[in-house]
Amino acid sequence: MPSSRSFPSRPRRRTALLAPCLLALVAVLLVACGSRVKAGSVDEGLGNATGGTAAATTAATGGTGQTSANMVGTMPSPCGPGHATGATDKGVTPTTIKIGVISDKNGIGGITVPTVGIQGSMQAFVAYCNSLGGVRGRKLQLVTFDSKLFQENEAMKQACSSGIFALVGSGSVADDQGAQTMVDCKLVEVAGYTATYAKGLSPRLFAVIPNPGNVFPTGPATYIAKQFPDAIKKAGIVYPSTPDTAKNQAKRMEQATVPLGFKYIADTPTAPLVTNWAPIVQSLKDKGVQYLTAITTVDQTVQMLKAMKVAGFAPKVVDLAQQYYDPALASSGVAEGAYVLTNTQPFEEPNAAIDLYNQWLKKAGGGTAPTTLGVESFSAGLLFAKVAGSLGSHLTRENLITGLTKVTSWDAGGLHPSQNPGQNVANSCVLYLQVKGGKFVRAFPDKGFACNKANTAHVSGDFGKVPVEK
Amino acid sequence: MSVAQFLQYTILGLAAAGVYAVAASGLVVTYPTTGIFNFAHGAVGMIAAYTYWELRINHHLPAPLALSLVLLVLAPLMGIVIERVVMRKMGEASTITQIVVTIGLLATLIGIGNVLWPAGSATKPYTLPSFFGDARLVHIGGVAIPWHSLVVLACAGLVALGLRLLLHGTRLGVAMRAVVDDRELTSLTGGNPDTTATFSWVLGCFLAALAGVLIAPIVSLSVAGLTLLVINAYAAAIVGRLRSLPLTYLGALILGLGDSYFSLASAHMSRTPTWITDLHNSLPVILLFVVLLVLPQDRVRVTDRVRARSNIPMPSLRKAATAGVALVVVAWVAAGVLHGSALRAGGQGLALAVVMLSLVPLIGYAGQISLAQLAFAGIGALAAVEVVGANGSPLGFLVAAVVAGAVGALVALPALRLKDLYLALATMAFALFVEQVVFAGIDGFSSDTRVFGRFSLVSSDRAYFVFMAAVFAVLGFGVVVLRRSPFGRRLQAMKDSPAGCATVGMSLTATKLIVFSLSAAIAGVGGYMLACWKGSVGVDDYSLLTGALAMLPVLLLAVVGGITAVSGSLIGALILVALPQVAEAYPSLANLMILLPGLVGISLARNPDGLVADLSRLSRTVRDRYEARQAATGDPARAPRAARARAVQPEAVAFGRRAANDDELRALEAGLGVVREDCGVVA
Repeated sequence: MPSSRSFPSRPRRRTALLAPCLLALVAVLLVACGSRVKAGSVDEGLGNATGGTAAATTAATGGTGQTSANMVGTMPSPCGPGHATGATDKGVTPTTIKIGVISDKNGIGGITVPTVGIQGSMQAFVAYCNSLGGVRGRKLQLVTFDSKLFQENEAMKQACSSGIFALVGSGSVADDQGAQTMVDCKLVEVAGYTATYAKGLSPRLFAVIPNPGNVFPTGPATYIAKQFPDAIKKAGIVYPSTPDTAKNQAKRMEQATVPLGFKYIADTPTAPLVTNWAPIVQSLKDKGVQYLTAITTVDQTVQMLKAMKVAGFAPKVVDLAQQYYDPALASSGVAEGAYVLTNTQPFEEPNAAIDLYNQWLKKAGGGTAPTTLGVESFSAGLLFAKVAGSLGSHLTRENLITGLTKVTSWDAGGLHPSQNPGQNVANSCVLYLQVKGGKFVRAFPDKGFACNKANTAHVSGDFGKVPVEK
Repeated sequence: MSVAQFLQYTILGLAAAGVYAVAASGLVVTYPTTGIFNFAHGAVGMIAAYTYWELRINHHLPAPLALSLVLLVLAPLMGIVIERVVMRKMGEASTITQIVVTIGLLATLIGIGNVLWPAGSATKPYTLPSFFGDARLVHIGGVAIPWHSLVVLACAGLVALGLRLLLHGTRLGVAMRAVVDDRELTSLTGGNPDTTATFSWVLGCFLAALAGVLIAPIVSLSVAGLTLLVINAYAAAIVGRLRSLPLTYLGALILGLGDSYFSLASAHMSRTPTWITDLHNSLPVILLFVVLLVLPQDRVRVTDRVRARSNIPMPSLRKAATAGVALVVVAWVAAGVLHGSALRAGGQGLALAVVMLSLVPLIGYAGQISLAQLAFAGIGALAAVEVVGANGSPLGFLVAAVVAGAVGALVALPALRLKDLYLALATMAFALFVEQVVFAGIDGFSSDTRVFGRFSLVSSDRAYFVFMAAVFAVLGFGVVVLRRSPFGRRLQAMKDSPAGCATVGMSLTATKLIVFSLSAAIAGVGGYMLACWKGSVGVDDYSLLTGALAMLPVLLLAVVGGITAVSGSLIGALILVALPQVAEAYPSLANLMILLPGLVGISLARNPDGLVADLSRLSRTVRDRYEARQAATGDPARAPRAARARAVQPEAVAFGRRAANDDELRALEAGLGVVREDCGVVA
């Protein structure tokens, strides 16, 4: 059972005499209780939290608080003081809300996963939100769970019995495992991202950048088809044969892009951990592949690109999805010219919201580096805070669901392009980066994101069992 | 397909063969010179590779310095430590113990790797540059081979030559081979077996480190990947009969070319079916299994190792029944008290205890070994859910037992003539094959989303918990009955002396087959129970090396818990599931918990019978001392009777490993009416 340490609740009203005492108390607390990464632990982040006035806030934190009237980029911060009352649902008390986050923290046996930044980002978010007073005065307590790549169902069961109010910011590679379990134990999930078909269509779940499995975003493929009309006729796709997530993603991608002119001459499943890329790469070269995409980890893809360099195999287009937006790929030296998608504002073009994310991640993220999926988790935290805060004293899971359904336009102050989590509308925005000189450089469009609702395609097939609400 | 293309893939295969050759040659050297097959060989290489990364990439040391530190300082140090701390104490231990200890070493090193270099540290990727740079290429026959691959091939050749020279041309080499043949004789003729043995291990670790450092830039650094690679190289080593380097290199060639030709076939298919990919990936384990079955085994040595009679307790039926009932009662209470993750862990422990129980008749009574129990467990679970469906039914257990038992028999049939090490390798190959091909090919199971339901009578957590305890109690009672039956005595006989059994006309074949089937059937039941308890399971829960539940820690803790006693399997299972709970409750101990299964495996070097034997021996010693004191102070008429009453069972006093303690000797003498002082024996 995760241990729960809650700070004693502080008095809400102070006189001027008490301000210096509080200053001292806060200074001691800031030194003593940093946020530390512990699996299954309860974490309140750096707290300076009083329901204080703005003057006291800035005085107590010594200038580390928000300077511009508590904005998150272009949107007013959803966190702040308030007077919510009542223990209105599981995990909610008059002064706290307990939330949980499930993610693949560490991978297995040396396999780095794209979700590695999620836990740290949620810790940063909780610290940020609590620093402003929490969600309408209710402080957030974070419980973390590690789904360890293949134990997502176990993590979900743990989450169900841990007394949390909702899951916020979560993301796991095999999130279909615990999808039905989440629905059965009546949790609500504001996900950072969803990976599988079953999870993307799950009830009681809202993703800040929706990924419903029966819809495939075709914006990227449309752009590639326009730029390289001949190369796409010789398309190759490489993916590990287990787990099913990658295989299903490959199937959906092929189904959606064939009508756009893609012709897959090489559909190449591989071992989950390939030790010898040379013959595989040679077979791709022999088939004359001109457009190559891969659905595997960054390490494996770098090895593949290395082998491609050795073999003298240089397809016209190397097209990689969002999970490859990782400095390790750019600095590897073998990925020059590869196209990489991002669904969040690129770190190379930071805006105020990304700056906020970076700032709090450094402060309270437990040493995690900034990642695109981490940004999505932070956005999920903000969305949760907004809707939960608006419910005030009527904070229940069902009300949360109703509130979230109404959010049809959400861009988290600029962290990502505007999305429709309430109606689970698939993301139809595109931003292609390209690896040039060891760095990511914008390739398309010239500014911002290219959004077009028409750039989606329906896909059908047996990709998993969507959970049902009993 | 043109000749040129065929040639290209052949050349690629030759280059890849170098990797397997280097990995396997170290194995083939350590076995004849230490007498122990080092399962941890690949893990030593993995540690060396990561250390090289640490020095070279993290601390920016120049390559020659980093290499020297790893190969000339770290590797010999590891060899010395391994020999001193682990292997020396193994002395005359049985082969099974040796296997388990080296597996413990493997688990420890993997644990150390995961602790020191955890995945997911996004600061610096775990990649190593190739030697001479990634861009240096050589063009042969239309393909480009990196210089690094040529370096690997060259090293493989140099190693072969060097070893040949060392082992057959130098005095030291001869001494190394002599120590393995007969340690005592070697010391009598003036050799120093300890120093020689140390050197053998140093050499072995050096070769392992060399392999690790050469392979890591090509294959990418990952704990599981590197270790698995060397496990795959076992196939090459087995082709060489663990003795012959040229044959080993042939095996490496087969592996490299096979890998390459699969891709050649795939080059002519626009869509490669996944079953071909699975077959491709498991080519090394298939080769291993086939080679083990086909090649002739080494002849049994005439002077077989003196094997100590181990202490197999024989509990009374009444005791066993009482213990079973007590377990069910305790389970009922515990299910009410525990909740959340502790209850879930406890339930997993009970299911795991049944799987570990399957090892008791196999390893404990019959002296065989199997690394495939979790594979049987998974097969049982799958078969059950296929037949009875996701809603569960008591019939499922029967199906699980029957199907798993049948598969166990099928595996045992070809493996009948294999002994000890080869049996371990064959079962390991089978387990890997099942994991990589069978489980991975079944939809839902490969992604751990297959749903297993409990049948309606015991659908609540508490009820199922008690049900699992009851199943364990019943099966445990059955195993005790087995122990006391004539079949149990046959198993013991088979363990003690297979030659002796053959002499009296006992059919070893039938006995082995039956015990393998039985053991697999029990494992199947345990597997289905685990699946129904967890609700949804997959390949990750029935794996060999990696994964949430892996066979290696299961084996280690089963043996440490006490492989000769039913209660030992329960203890072992509960310890195994308690480890992650402890790690969560006390994060500072988390790393220790990761290392613990391996460490206890190594501790077996001192104590082959495990914890339960230790405990029962301790309790007996305490009782003896108490009674001796009573006898000394009490009236003389009672003393001899007291001594005689506690009839010393021959099995209880292990004279082979150590002298019986003084109280036991005195009791024996008292019972025989012997007065020590009269014999003039100095006490």
